[in-house]
Amino acid sequence: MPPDTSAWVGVRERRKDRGLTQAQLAQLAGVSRQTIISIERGDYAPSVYLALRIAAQLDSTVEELFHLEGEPS
Amino acid sequence: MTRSSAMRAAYALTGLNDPSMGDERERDVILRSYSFALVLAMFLGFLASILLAVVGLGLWSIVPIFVVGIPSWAAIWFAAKEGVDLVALLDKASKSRTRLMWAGTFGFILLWGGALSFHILMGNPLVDIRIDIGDDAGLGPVLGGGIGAVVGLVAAIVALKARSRKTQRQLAAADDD
Repeated sequence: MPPDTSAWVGVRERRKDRGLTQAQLAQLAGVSRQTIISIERGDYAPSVYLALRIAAQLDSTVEELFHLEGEPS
Repeated sequence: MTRSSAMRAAYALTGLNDPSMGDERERDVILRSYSFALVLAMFLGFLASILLAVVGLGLWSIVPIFVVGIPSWAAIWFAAKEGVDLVALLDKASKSRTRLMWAGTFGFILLWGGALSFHILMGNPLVDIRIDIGDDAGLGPVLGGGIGAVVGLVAAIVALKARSRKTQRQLAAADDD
């Protein structure tokens, strides 16, 4: 579902730091590459479970990867 | 989640848990796509009813309304089983959407009712196309209809394949890795 609030998504930066392609992260998280692209662009807000899976694959936390605009990171 | 046998059947019929529904985002898009298709089908059903009344099919022209009404009732039933009251949620519709809905409803009643009334009062429909099937239609129309159906099916498959290839090209181009 498209997010209805502004959000900062740090998935792309973290993914690049880990040396992963979108396709690799998609496979690890069990979703399509297009879904990872949509998440990184902020066009799609993942479910809690998907956000947790992505965070686990990037050795990060959901709070580090996703937060609302205006909130402290 | 415990579901009734009717809901298990509904899920099986719809294939909601089938791999063809994709991941969570793809499933969301698919469900929104079908939602759009359902609303479009409803409007096309209204239009079909009006057209059938115009050409003189009388009360048979109400059949498309019943046909497109079935998915709507099915949606209300399904949602209720999942704890969502679709009818109550309509009260939350925006004023503009509510006005559009009432305008469409009254417009349909006027046009459909008008066409039927004309037919009844004047003894002939607004547009008399004089379809006469007859008792000895013969093999010709059946064969022609069958060939037309096959050609249409092949054309639809070719168009769908072409659309799928185009979508795949667009998705590949969107990868900004």
